[in-house]
Amino acid sequence: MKNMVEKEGFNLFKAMAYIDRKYLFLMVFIITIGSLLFPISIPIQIGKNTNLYYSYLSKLKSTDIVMWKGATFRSYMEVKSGYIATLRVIIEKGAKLVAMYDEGDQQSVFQMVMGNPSTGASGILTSLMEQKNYKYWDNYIDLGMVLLGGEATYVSLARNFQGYIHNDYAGRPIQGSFLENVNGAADFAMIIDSGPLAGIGGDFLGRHFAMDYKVVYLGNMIGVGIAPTQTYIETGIVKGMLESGRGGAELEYLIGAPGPGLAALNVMTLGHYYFIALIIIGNIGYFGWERKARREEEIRAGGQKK
Amino acid sequence: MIVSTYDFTVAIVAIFITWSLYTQFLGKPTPFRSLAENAYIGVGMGMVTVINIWYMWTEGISPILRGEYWMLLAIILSIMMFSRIIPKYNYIARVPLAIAVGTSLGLALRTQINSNFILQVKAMIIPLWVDGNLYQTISNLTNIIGGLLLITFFIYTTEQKGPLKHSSQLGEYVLYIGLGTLFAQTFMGRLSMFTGYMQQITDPQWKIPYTIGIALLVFAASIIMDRRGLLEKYG
Repeated sequence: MKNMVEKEGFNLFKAMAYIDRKYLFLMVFIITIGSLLFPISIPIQIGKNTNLYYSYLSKLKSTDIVMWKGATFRSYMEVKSGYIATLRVIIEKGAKLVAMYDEGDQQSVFQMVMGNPSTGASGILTSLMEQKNYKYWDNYIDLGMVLLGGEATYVSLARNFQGYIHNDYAGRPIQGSFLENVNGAADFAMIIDSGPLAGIGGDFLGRHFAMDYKVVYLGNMIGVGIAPTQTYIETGIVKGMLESGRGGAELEYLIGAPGPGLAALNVMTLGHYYFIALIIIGNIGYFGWERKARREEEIRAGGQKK
Repeated sequence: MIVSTYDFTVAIVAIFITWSLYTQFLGKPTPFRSLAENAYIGVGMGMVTVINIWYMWTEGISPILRGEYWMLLAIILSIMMFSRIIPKYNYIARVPLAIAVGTSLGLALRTQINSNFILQVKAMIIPLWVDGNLYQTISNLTNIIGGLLLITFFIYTTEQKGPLKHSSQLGEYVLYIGLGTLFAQTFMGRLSMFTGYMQQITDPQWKIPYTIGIALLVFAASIIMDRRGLLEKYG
């Protein structure tokens, strides 16, 4: 390209159309790391879905049992703020929590936040848990990877919990725990689904728990799933959702506990401005050079044919 | 701040693997990227295998040892799946597969019709005018008009002419608006994921010098290798 520019002289449109990707990516790194290291204050507006999510979450009582479907490590990176903020509210309310997973690394993510009861390793929320006397077995139970098996598994859980679940992830029988009296979906006050890939309303929990037993179903959604989930909010299957990192930041703001979400909001805003700038530059480059050059070539080719 | 050897090792390995993968942005395969990719796949496979064995133990073998012998049926069905590796007997695998697919279909049919059809149509039956709430009125009108226009776009069995042609064209634009939204939300999600991971390798603060130092080392080594023509050989 350099040689071409030297031959034909500098053309701004052409330069805009052929910016080396290396520099575009470098700018993403600079914007991200720069904004994280040197934060600036940018105003925040709470979205409708976050308000709905928070309104249900804030109604939790200490006697309520919440089903927690974990997030994979890659999803967690996206919904981290909502994940931590939601667990923070559950711990503060003293509600009971049952964690379940359908992928291998979801448990590691949960233990990264709540600590590992087997090894005693602390997690991000360990200090809050100690402060609120929120303990494994008394307040929360990790059932491990019990959500494998698709449709049949979820139906079994919803209709015959005791027949399907016998022990926690470490093999300890659930007798004597708060799960002893859970017989099915109707005994859960809420389901929180963290970071699923697609529209969660059409997922098993939505159909077999929320639709059949009217369990409040909330989603902590990754970006790709926001639009499909919106349709299930309209139908009432999903009651509220956090929209990716932005939703998590809004929840952090609502509960008054700033965390990774609000810290990342600068990056989100500046990143979007950068992306809009790239769209504009790319389009100017396309219309000013690439399309024009292609048309000229077509005309030349057409002329030769004649 | 005291950092345990375990946490320190995990952080350093994670930072190194991260920057090794990002050398992809140089536009050429590098040995760092190959190392990171292979390590990722290897570790991932190892972890999945261990988790699956553990799952089989807690959910399959342990119940049998407790006297729940009906779980033997599940074990037998699972073993039947492995018959696929012997071409002569691979038809045996159809039995557990048929049971799994049949059960799922049966259970899904009733709920799918409700959640993905009846309730979706019901959600479209909304008032055209909401007193004192202009935002809701506009939102409802957009929903109804947009939905109807879009449905006409998917009518393929009638020749698209007259009013149908225009509504179908407008429906196409509604579709583009929807896809644009989806694209923007996906971008937001990806940026959020990237930021989340950058936070992971820069927080707490003791990680920052290691993150910057390892990034410089990995990229400098990749650029030097590129200049000396070693990337083609080792990448």
